[in-house]
Amino acid sequence: MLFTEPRFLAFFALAFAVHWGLRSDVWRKRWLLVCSYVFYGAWDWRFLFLILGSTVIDYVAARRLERARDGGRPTRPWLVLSLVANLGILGFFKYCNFFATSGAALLSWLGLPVGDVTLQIVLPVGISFFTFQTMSYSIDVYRGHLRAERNFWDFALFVGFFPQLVAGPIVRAIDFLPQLAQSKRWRAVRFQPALWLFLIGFIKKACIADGIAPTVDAVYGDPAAYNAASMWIATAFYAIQIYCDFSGYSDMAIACARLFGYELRLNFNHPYFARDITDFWRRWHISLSGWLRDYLYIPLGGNRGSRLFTHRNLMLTMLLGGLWHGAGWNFVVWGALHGTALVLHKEWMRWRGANAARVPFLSQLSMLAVVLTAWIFFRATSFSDAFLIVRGCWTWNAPGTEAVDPRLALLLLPLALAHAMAAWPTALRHLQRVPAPVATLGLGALTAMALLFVPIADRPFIYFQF
Amino acid sequence: MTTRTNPRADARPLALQALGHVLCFGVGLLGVSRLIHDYDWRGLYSDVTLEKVQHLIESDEQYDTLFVGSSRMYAGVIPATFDAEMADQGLPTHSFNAADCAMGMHEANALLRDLCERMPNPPKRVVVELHWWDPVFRAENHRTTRAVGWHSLGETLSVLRSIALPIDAQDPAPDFAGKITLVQDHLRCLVGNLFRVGQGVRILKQLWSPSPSTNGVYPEELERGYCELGKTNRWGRRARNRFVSPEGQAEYADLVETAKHWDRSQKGFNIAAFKRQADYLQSRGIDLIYMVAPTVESKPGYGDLEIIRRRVPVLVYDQPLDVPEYFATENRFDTRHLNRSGGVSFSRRLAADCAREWGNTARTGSRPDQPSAR
Repeated sequence: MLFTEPRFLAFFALAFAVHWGLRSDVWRKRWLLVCSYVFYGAWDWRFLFLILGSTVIDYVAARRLERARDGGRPTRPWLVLSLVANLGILGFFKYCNFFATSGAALLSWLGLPVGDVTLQIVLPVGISFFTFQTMSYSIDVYRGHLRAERNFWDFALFVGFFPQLVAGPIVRAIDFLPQLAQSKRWRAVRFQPALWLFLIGFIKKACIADGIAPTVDAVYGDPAAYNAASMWIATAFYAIQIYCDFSGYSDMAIACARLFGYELRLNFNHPYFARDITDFWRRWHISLSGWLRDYLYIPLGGNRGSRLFTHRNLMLTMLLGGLWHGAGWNFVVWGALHGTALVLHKEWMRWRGANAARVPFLSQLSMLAVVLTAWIFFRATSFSDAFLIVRGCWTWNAPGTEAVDPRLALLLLPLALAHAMAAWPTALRHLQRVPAPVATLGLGALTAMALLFVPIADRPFIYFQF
Repeated sequence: MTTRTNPRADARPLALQALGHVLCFGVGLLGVSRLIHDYDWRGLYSDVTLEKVQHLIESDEQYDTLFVGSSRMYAGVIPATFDAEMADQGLPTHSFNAADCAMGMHEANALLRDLCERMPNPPKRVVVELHWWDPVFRAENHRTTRAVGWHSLGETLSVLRSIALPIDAQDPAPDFAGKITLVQDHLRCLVGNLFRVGQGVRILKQLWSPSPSTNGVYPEELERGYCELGKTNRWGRRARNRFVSPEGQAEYADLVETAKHWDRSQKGFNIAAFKRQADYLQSRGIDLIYMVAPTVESKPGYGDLEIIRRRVPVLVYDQPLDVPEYFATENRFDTRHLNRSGGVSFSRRLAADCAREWGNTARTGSRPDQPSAR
């Protein structure tokens, strides 16, 4: 069930109406849990057992861990149990075939050919998100940052809360569990800003990302047929597509959560307007980069050591971050490119000191160059295609002659509008002063205009596969 | 002293407020959609239909008779021949063939309503090719903008009713799951039409360069909407080649034999849709005739025709035993369509039968077992 599908609208309307129709907060939470499981089960009901299993393991492990600490017994085994279970689930479903095929390729290269080693495994939707969520919970309880949740149903809702279940943002228990303890009041919810946010997310995903996807698919499907300008256009379009697809989903998820009275953290903050590559990672997929920082980079030692040690930690974090996105070497290369750029940027900052930010335009341009080049590896279907496009873009030497229509850039107008609205605080303040009925009328009018640009065919969110 | 609050009383203004917002949202949504719809009314017609519609609206010629239907009508009725025969019969007409390939009853109905609204001088008489009110999308039309185009609210409700009826004419008839899929597809088309979903880029292009994107077949190549297959039309040559081949001829002979023995008792017409169409046209003073085209590939069935005949004359020409001349190879372009000589002959016959029906005050219509003779 996609947020952009009509059946989601019906599902959400029912969930919303019953939620606010119930008097008791306890029943509201139970109802949201039922809705979340129905939402997840709509993909494949068999994976409900997986999410339930993950929930039970982490609930029990955290409770036992806390009890062990209170009793003065070792707590680490319970943390290890939680991590092994979560990483085991993730490893089996997401990386099993990747490691098997990579191992087989290595053996074959060494002259020891093996047969087909892949298993028929279906990747459960959103597995990377909910396993990271539950791991962060166990780690926070282990570190003593958080008390273990006593109410199993509340914990299950934290893991399965449907707005963010399948494609984030990755919610921290420390942010979400306290919200479950608060009473939800209809009057406290600001519906109109939430609906506007949902509409903006919808426009990003359905109008922009899905609208430009066919152009990207055409060029990346057969890059040898296209000229260099088309490769640039397709790569820029992909950068916009993946941003609009993912941040659009995040906006809709945050908006849906708000309509139920819950707050989720911001996941994107205009990343392509970042000053440099380090700033880019403060603005892109904030919930993942924060997770990697707090639960991987800092435990590895962070920057509390020599420069080489810091760079190693940075590279490892980015490589694993790349691998988190998908079980493929292209994602590892994507992570490596970003890791290298971050290391070089750190060195540049150290070398230039206060003068480093003298030319912000050049800094932004180099950030965009790195990000776009890295997206080529992220999107291309093979390394040979990726290198072909990189060569075509950077040497203006592409083998093909076909060209995409440059007028397609018109499709970016709605994005510019949405971006300008979001980035212009005065406009938002003006918008808040508009009488509520007029704003609602405008919401309806903008929805009608957005529908004009929704492609007829449904296209799943890119980040569902991660 | 404590004040007691009644939660129900608290909830009432909130509910009214929410309702008010829903209404405002609806007004904004539907209002803008309506404006876009009105601006883009041409948007979802096929190229050929659009050219015909534009001609009918903009031309100074005052057509009083229209033919609406599928390619069998498009390639079977020659307006000039029809008018000449009508004049001979003492009922002069000035007709136009508004049919288009693969146009079913629902699309034809939507087209007729649009023409009645937009033509400066609406027609006085209409001949509609009779089919089932077929709820199954034709393969070539499925999920095209053209299929979306006729899905007004009324037409969608009508097609949903057709789905609820037994769909005998389909082979194989859709099962329950198939019907659910059909319902979803039609609802999707309704939403697509109401809100012009996905049409933004095309509309922007039109704003950018307002010249209509048509295929240029009208009016130079067409004779008041008639299309001679093989001469002006780009499609159909493969069917023609197949038809004239020895295997094609044997196949056609088999089809004609089968048609002679069709089961004429099939029921399941969407009678309500016929009544709605008849009511609409008659309320505008338009005389309506239904015509079953001479073809061996349609199975309209006759179980319910008597009910239709009580309201509207029905002329039936799909029985090879009754009208063998239209099934003779020399009068056919292929198994489905007449060629020009067949079209000339058929247009005369149709004119004579229409003149009789329109000339009669009591409309009885011809019977399938007793085709009207000149």
